Amino acid sequence: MNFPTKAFSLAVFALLPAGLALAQEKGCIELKTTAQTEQTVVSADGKRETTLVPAAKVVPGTDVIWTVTATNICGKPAGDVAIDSPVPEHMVYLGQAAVAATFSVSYSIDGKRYAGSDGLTVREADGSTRAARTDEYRHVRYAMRSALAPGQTVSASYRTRVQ
Amino acid sequence: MLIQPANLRRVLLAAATIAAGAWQTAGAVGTAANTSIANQATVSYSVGGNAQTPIPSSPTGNSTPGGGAPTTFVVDNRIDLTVTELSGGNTLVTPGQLNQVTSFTVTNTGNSPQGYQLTPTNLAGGAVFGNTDNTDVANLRVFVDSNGNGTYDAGTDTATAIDTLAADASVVVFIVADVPGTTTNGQFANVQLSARAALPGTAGATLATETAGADTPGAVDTVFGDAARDATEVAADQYAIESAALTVAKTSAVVADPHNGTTNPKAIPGAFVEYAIAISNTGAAPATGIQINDPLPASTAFRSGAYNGAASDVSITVGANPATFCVAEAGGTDTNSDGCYRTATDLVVGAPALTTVNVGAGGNVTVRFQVAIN
Repeated sequence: MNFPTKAFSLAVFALLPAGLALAQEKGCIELKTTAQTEQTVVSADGKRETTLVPAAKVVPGTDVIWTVTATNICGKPAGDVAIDSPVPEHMVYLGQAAVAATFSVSYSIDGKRYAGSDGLTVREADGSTRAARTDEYRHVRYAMRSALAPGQTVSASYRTRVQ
Repeated sequence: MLIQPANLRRVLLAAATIAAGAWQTAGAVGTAANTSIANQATVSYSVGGNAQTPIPSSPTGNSTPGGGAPTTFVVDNRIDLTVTELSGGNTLVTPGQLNQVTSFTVTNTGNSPQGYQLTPTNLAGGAVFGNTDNTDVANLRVFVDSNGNGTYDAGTDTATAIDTLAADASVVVFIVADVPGTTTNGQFANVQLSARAALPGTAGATLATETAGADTPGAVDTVFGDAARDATEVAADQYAIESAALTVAKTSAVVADPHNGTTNPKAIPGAFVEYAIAISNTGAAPATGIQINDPLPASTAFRSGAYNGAASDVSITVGANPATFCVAEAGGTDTNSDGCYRTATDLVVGAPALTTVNVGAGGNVTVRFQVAIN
């Protein structure tokens, strides 16, 4: 009994996204998520330079920088643009890395209530509340203050660490 | 097999449970190697004031609602370990002892199961516990505490390498060595245990290697995470050699002569002379199996019955304790088995009259006997 059910569930997962993708038309924004790690190289003149490379040799304690990039691929401006990026399992949020000026950044612990860095609170077991720690953030939201013009690309990145 | 909707729900639930279980691998040493970390952002927006269907991201860019794919990477294998000395102090040994044990703990602080090759060595110089190494132990061996009791069990703890140690797990490792009989009191033999990461399940035989070059996406690369990045850690321990160091002094005094009695006796023929053999132990371990062989002086005759109301020939005092006595039979045989007898030339004092000289003033032994000057 065990083997057939597993095989069946795998088939469901594999087929579902492909089937939906076929059914949907393209939207107005292309969204990309990339994972990068820092690599320190010593240049010819002896300077240490940190560059970002595709996530490589990631072990517990490694910092991974997630970058979301949105591009308007339509002929019309896109308004109310908000990108929600979760902090993956096994990772803790450390801080923002490079964020386009147009974004206002908010955070969430539960994926429902979003607030700025000083607006999130956690309710303790004894009923008291305290400010949330950054390592408790599970979602980062980048909301554009202005419209995303046709052809315009914006990006934001934040730093996480593998637990 | 026909699957009804109710069954389908159960199947999906089961799949979700399996997935959740796979995530629960993060321990104190971090996320387990081969864990896939996935991230997928979603953008919501509106066009002309009308909210559009949110679009999930993909690693290369997606613009189709419901499409996209998570951006993922696989957590690589960080090899890290610690080796620590277990007891916090040295192991006291005496010269000639076999199979003496020092103990260590090897801990897998990496994020996947590892094996370890174990190497014991004699250190040359250097201080451990503040004591400088100045001798070596012999026949160094290493064994893994197979039954987890923290004590070396000969015949049970036979593995000489750690086959597989789970992430965050520890195991005790023993160095077992023989103490050369030539070592002396106060010497220190410093030893070191080296543990080198090996592939799990190879009994320490196949050493782990770091993945060279660029990351292999989707595959588990091996990274040495220890301080020296050599997948090797060491710890030192120490054998402190304790031995007896005996000091023997022999004095004589005239105790009586035929003319003066015991008052200011002189060493004239017929006088009694008492010899006192004082033994003290300035070492660190009791001296056992003590036997005194003292040649009787020429031109004298051994005085029997000199002590204990004329019942005994030899007086033995230990520390501040009252004297004990024995009879030193002539003829070379200890017929009453009290430990004392005489050969043609020597006085012999041994067990049970005298067996051990303990360390310190309380262990000082004085053996007295008398002779008459011919």
